[in-house]
Amino acid sequence: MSAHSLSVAVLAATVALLGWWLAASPGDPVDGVPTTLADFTARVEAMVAAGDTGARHGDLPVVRPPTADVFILARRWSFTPAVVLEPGGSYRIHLLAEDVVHSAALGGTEVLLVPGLMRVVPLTAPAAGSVRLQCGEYCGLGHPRMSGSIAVSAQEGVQRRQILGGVDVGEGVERPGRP
Amino acid sequence: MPAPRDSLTLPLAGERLRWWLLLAVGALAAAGVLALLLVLSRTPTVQDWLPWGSAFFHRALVVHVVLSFQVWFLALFGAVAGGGRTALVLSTGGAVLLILPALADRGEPSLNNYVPVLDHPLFFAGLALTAAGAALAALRAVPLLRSPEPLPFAIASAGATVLAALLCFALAGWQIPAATDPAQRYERLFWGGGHVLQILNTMLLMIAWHWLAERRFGRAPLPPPLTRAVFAALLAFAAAAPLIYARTDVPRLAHRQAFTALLWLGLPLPPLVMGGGLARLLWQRRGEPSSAATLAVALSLLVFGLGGIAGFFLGVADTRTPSHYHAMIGGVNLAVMGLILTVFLPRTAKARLSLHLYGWGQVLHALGFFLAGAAGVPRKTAGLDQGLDSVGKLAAMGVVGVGGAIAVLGGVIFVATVLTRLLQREDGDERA
Ligand SMILES: [Cu+2]
Repeated sequence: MSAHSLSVAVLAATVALLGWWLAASPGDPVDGVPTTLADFTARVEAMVAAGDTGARHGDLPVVRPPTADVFILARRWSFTPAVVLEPGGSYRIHLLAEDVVHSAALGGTEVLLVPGLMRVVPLTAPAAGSVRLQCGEYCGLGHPRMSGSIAVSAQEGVQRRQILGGVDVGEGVERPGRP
Repeated sequence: MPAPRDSLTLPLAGERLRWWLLLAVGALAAAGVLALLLVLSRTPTVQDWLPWGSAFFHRALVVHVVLSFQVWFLALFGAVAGGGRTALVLSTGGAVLLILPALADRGEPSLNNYVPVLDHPLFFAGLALTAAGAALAALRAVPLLRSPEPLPFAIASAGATVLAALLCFALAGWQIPAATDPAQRYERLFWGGGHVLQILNTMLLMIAWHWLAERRFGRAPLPPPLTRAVFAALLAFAAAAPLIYARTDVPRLAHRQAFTALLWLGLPLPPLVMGGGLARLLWQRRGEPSSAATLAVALSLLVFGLGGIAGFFLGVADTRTPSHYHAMIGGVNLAVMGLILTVFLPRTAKARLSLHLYGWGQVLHALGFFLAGAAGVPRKTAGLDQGLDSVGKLAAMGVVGVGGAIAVLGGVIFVATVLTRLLQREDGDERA
């Protein structure tokens, strides 16, 4: 190919790539559900009281959520509490930022956590292992170590309850975003 | 309106080039001293002898990053663009102001992406002067977009990219709500323009490849129309970047993702095309004796290519992110070191040694980070936080450390030899 036609190819590819970039929707239209910190904290505490395994993950209690609704509070620089999910279970992960803007990179998606606005992310637990939960928005010097703990393991001798049933995708539930 | 410059008569003024290089390499030297001090500030016993408080580690880290990235690359741009005296004075004054607050133990440090900051008026004045110096040099270069010659066109594209980055910083500053927490404010203030400056860095890499090949191999990596096309392609994405500020609000996730997508789509093709041309040129010259120029170009291609491959496996938050980023920047640095050592200041002592050490150290460093990332070590953490619970992870982080140390040694030799050379005021350098 001549230098001229290669140049035209490069420029045509650039126009196509620029068009792709412009056409890609800016996305993230969801602002979240207005929620007070007191209300959310009460839900976290109720979940901890009902599902505390007695184990600790660092400073955090390790909780086996009793229902499909899981409440995790984000603050500098932790996600509280640590949770253990049933393999294959369908969950709604509710997240709220306590102090400043954080984000939750949860599995393959990410949502921004603005104080006062709760985000709900549907999550199907894998068969084993853990699910990544990490803050993706710089929030201060401790930001690099701001990650949560979502482990997956079966609870012996217990019915797998309603968790394995379908989850109603209600108001405020995110559609899984593009990775 | 300056007349279009012939590519073989750039840079114009040897003396001005010398001062820009002094600023660029001096910034690296200062960054190196700060790196040493910040390590000492965490060393038992020694830390008691230093006059600074406990926040010095992060303050010094902030200034280290700003000097070794922003000041270094913008001064290099000033050098290749032949920036004028006012631009040089502003940029130099800016660099000095950036260092002062950390030495005075002042300013809350923020390690946000791209341009970390110290919350202190002198530091911000330093950033403003640095930006003003770069803007002046850029304004002087932009009219060369009309030049039929590839190199002036490339330099003018870099100038326009600098202006696009500065526009992004300004738009962000204007749009971010006043009540935003400092961490998020600085993160979002520098997010967009910081991305555009990566386009500038890629252009500097390609300018160095082109210049080096033309001067040392007697042939450019690509024919003139294709050279212009690959720079125009990068410039198109830099010019489109400010549009993001009209499409989404700065604090939103979509804003962050739009800039990530901009680089994903806009950055790979142009260096891939020129890298291909350069690899072909190296292959055609395989019978000829190897030189410092060949070494710089080959190592730059290898390290930049490694970074590109790592980029395709980029995770949101494990060590592959720095692997990718370090390797890309390492590849840019190798090309620029080659340009300085073989075109601007040929016959500088230990040129091949510093290129070998810096290049192979970067290769090891990036490979180690990539292995560690594949084994699941989170990025940007140190010590116990890394969860180094397997032999594989430990070995990988050991490779990172050894590679980093070798690269730093190469960098120190480069800075020391080039600074010595620049300060000798000798004549007869082949600068024109
Ligand atoms: Cu955070």
